[in-house]
Amino acid sequence: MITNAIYKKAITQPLTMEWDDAETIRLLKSRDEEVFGQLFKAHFKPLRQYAFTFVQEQQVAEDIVQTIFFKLWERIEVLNFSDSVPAYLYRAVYNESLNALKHNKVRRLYQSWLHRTMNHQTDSAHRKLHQDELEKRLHKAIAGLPQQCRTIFQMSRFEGLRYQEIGTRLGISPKTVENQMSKALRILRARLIEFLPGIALFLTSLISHSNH
Amino acid sequence: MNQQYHTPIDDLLVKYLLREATPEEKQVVETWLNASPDNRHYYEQLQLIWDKSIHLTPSPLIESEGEEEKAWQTLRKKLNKPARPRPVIPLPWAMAAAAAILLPILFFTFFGWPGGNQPLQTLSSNNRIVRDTLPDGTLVTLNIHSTLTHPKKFNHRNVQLQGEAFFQVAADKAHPFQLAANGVTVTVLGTAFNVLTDSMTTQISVESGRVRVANSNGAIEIGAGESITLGSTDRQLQKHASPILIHHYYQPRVFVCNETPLGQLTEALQNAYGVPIVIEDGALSKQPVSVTFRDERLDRILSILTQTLKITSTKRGDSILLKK
Repeated sequence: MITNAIYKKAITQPLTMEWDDAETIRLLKSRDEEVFGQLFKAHFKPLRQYAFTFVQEQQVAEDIVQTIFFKLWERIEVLNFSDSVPAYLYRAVYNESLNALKHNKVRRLYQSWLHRTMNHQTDSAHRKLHQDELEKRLHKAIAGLPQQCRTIFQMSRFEGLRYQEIGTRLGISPKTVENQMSKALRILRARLIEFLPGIALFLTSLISHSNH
Repeated sequence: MNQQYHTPIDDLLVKYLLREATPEEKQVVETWLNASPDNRHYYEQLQLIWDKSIHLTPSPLIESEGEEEKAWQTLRKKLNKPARPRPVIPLPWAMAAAAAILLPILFFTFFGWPGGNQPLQTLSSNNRIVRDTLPDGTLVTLNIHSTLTHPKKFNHRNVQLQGEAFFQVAADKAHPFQLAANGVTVTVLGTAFNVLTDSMTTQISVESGRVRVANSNGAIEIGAGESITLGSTDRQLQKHASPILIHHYYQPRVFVCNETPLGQLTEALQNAYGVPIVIEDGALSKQPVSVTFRDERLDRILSILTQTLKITSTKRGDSILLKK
């Protein structure tokens, strides 16, 4: 067993050092505020980034992270971390973000509608250029991925993290990351199949291949 | 090629795509790709999804040096607020000692604590709005999924709220009515006001009279027709004019408009009925309306509005569009 001091150092740098989840949980459950603070500070930015992919507002994303840690501290004794602590945190942010969206759904619908109408002229041209139908569908499909799958996919794609880094950050094995990544792409492909180039493009690509 | 279920080649294809594959794995993938045009087509579809998804990367957040520390300090303050003092139960004590303690507790439970720690009572609403009169005569309308904790006997009037409630406070200058929610304290003499809390914000709107709102940043007084909204990190005490009718929506759906801009009414309506209502042009949303609706169905309200304002209302998907 590592000493608390070394251990505390380890969890402040979760990306570079291995850390012991059972020990974190023990310290957290003993209400060690210092360990809790380090856990918060180590995960604050990545979790906020993650929340942002749902709520699209930095302040709201920040509030979500604060809220989940607040709730975590309130219920720390009775919590049962079925997987790792970071995996728990990401799941909590996921749930809290969906809650926030549900809560704000009506207001948001209205605001986004307003926004769209007000910027109608410039916006429609802009959208055509930058976001075609496939991208729109893709956006939806990513949002519809199962929680762990979505988290891992976004870390890989949006943050450019390697399998190993994702595994360390979430406290799971690189093998799990590998499975989840291929699951994500498989699901996305199945959901987007109508919008993916069919046989026509495939033929042209064949021809261009044979020409080479 | 099976599209739905896991095949070992998928893991390898994705590793290959993401440049995570070992040289041996690369070899396996390339052999597989060359084995059939279908295989290559399948891979190209994954590749297209992967390439497209980079465009969906959210814009980078504004980050500043040491902001984790600042955020942590904000959270720490909240954690250390003694919201619910933990009762210390002296379990291992001898029976005699326990009895000596229990007797006064029983006494105070029945006759009230002399000081602050009175027995508390909880008023909760689940799926329906609850209206009740507190022991001091204050009328409370508790919105759905809200909880109010108040002392059983009002020696002093300190209450706590989670969710949303509208208070019509009984006047009693000697005993100010005090409400605590999300680290904000609202002090009242005699007034009608609304408090909405959720995990992120606290909003206080005053219908009549004045209240004093205090948090760790200081205190401010707000009066009739004013409101204040505080975020969990944005705790600036800054008041703004409040759309007075808003908080009426969860009382049995009463909307009192007196020269109220149509836009404000539709906002209250969409909150109450859960249907987005969109007004086509800005001028129309500023159009003042004077009307009172009590427990009307939304379609009836819309039909009255369209007839009196000479506008049309059309359903567009999930929302309703109002236009001239």
